Amino acid sequence: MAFVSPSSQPQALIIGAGSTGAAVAHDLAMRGIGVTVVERGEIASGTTGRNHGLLHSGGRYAVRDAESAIECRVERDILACIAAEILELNGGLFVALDEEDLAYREPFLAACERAGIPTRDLSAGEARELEPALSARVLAAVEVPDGVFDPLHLCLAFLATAQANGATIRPYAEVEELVVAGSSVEGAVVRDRRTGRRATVRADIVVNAAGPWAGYIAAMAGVDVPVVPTAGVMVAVAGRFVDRVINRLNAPSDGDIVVPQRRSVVIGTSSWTVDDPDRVTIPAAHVELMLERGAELVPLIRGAEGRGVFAASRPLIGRTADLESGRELSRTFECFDHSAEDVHGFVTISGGKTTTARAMAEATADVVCRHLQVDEPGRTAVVPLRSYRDYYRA
Amino acid sequence: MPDPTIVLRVWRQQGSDASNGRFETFEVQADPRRDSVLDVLERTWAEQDHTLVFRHACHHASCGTCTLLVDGRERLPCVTALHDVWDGRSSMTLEPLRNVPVVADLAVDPGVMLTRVAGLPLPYVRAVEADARSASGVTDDADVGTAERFEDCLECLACVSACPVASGDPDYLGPAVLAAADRAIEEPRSGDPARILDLVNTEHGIWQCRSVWSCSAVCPAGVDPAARIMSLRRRVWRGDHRSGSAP
Amino acid sequence: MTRAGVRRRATAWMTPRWRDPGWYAFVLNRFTGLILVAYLLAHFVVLSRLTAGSEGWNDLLGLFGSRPFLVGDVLLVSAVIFHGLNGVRVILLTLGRGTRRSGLMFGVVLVASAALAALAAWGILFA
Repeated sequence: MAFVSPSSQPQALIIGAGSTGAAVAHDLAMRGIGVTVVERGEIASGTTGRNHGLLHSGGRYAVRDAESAIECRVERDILACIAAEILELNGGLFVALDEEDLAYREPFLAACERAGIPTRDLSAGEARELEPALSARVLAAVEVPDGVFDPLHLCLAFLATAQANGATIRPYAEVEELVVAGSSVEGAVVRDRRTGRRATVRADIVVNAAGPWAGYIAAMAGVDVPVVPTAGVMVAVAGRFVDRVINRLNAPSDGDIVVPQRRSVVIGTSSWTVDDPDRVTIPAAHVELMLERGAELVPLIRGAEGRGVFAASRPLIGRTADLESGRELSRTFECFDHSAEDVHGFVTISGGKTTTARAMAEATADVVCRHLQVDEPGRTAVVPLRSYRDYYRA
Repeated sequence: MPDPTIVLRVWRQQGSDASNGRFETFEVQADPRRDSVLDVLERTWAEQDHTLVFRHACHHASCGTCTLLVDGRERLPCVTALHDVWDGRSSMTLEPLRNVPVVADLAVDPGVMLTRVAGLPLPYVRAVEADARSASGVTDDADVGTAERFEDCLECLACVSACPVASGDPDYLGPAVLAAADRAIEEPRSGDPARILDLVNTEHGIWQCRSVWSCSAVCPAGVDPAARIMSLRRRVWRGDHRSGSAP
Repeated sequence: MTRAGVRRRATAWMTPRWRDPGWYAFVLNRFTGLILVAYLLAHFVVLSRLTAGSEGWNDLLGLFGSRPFLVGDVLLVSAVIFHGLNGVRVILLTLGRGTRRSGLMFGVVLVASAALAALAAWGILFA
C-alpha cells in the first residue's frame, strides 16, 4: 500500500452502505484512499439487506447471459476464498419437474460448460436422496456450486476490513445536500440522524452507491440518473426443508428459486416497478405466486408457517445508449462518471448483484483512482476479509 | 373497507442520553392480516416522520438487527405478525432493548456484546445436525452429509434485554455470549475448548446466572441460552477440558 | 448509574415481565428468600432473650402463641415451602432436566406450594 501522509491522502465519500458501497469502501481503503461511508440507516438496510442471499454459481444466467454467468462463477469462487467463514457452500440444484424443464437441460448443461461452471447430472432418485424435501415429481436435476450468504454480515465483513484500513463508517448519517462549487462536487452536508446535527464532509470524490435512491442523490448535483426502482417480493416460511439452493430448471422466471435461510426457506422473486422505494406495496398475487411456485419445488412450503413477506427495490437503470455519461464497465453494472456532464468529482454506480459486488467495486475503484491520480491496483480478490464482528471493535 | 388505524407509542430519544427521552404517538393505518410490526413501523417512518431511527436489514429473522420491545416484550418485529400482538383496539408501545446502549430512538449499539463474542471465538457456520431432516418434518431417515448452516444465534440481543441479572451487572457476560461459548465447546472447529471454558468459568460468567429463564423464553431462534449456561456449569463440574486432562 | 451509556438501576430486576413465568419465579424466590433471612435474624434476637430469664421468656412464648403471630407463622411456613420447592425446580434445571418446560415446572411448584401451605395453615391455626 502506497504511503500517503494524512494531509495529502485523497478522500472519498461513499453514499450508501449496501453491498456496493461496502465493497467499494473496502477496495478504496485497501488502495490507501481515505474513505468515509455515510448510510442513512443501519448497514444494509436498503436493497441489499433484503436480497435472497443466493451466492450465484452462474447457472441461472448461463443460457441467456454468458457474461453474467462467467462473472458470477468467478466471483463466487473468490468470495468462497475471501469470505469463507460466513458462507454456506452446500451447492444448489436445478430441478426439472416437467417435460419443458427437461428440454431445457441440454442447453443448460452446454451453457454451463461454456461458462466454466462445474455441473453434476443427477437422476430423480439421486436428487431426492440429497434433498428429500424435493417434490416427488422431480424428473432430473443438475447440481451446481451455488451457495448462501447473509447480506448484512457480508457487508459488515467488507466494512470491517475497510475500517481496519482506516475507513470511517457512519450509519444513521443522511446526505441532505451535496456541496457543489462551480462544476465540482466537493462533499456533502450530512445530518447525523441520532442527534439531528448537521456537518459538512469534504471529499475529493463522491461515490453515489445509493441503490434505488441513486437518482435522488444524483439530482442534488444536478445530474439525471434514470433509476427505475424495480421491486421483487420474497416470501419466507418456517422450516429449513433443504440445505441447498433449489432452482427450477427453466429460463429465469418468477418464484423459481428457494433459498434456505437459517431455519426458514425464502422463495423469490418477482418484478414490478415502483415510484418510491420507501413505500412499496406488495401485490397479494405475487405472494400467492411465490408460495405456489415454491411448493411445486418443495411441497412442504404449502403448509408451513409464514415468517415474513418483504420486498426490496432493484436499482435498474436505463440503457447507456440513452445517456451521455454512462459507461458500461460490463453489461452487468454501470458506472456513471458525471464529468462527462461537466459535474466533476462525482461518480454513480448502480446495478449488479451482491455476488459480484467485489468485481463491481474493483472496476469502480479503478475509475476513482484514475480521477484521484492514485496508481494502485486492486487486490481485493486475494486478500481475505476480516471477521464481520471486527466491525464493532472500533 | 379501509384498513384499521393503530395507535403507536414510540420511544424517542436524541443520541444515547435517555433523560431527554419521551414517547411520541402516531396513528398509522395497518392491515392486521398482512402486516408485521416492522411493516407498521416502516410505514410510520415513510409517511409521517422520517427522523425515526430504528434498525432493520433482512426482514426475515436472519440478521438480528430489528429487535425491539413490543408492549414490553422482546420480539423481532419483522416476523411478528400484527394480528398476533394487537387486539385491534389498544395502542402498541415500541421501545428499544434494555441493557444495551441506545444509539437513538429505537436503535441500539450491539458492539459491547458482539465484541465479547468475538473474543471467544465462535464460528458463524456450523455442521447441520444429523437429525435435521426429521426435526424439520421432512423425513425420518436422511443423511445430511457434510452440509453446513449458519449458527442459530442471530446476535439479536433479545436475551440480554430480558435478563434481570444483566440489568444489574454490566460485567455479566450475558446469555448470548455464554450460549455461544457452549456452542464453541460443543463444536470446536478452530477454537480451544479449554480456553473458552476458562473464559466463562468466572464470577461474571456462568456463575452470575440466577436461573430466571427469561432469556430462553424470548429467544426467537431456539438457542435456549439458559440450558446452555447450565450445560457449561456441568462441563466445569465434570472437569471437562481441564488443562492436563486427556484430549 | 450509566456505564457505556446503559441505564442500570439496582431495582431493574423488579420491572414486571408479564406472562413470563421465569420472572415471577425469580422474584418470588428473592422475596421469600428475604423473608427467610429476616426471620433468621429475628430468631437470633428472640433467642437472645433467653439471657433475660425464664419469666420474660415465657411471656414472649405466650405472645408467639397469639393469633396474629400464628398467622405470621403460616406466612413464614408458606415462604419456606415455596422457596424450597422452587429451589428443587432450579436444581433440576441446572442439571439439565426439564429445560424446555421451566414454565410448566413453575406451575407445578405453585400448585404444590399452595396445597402444602394450606395443610400447614390448617395444622397451625386449627389443629
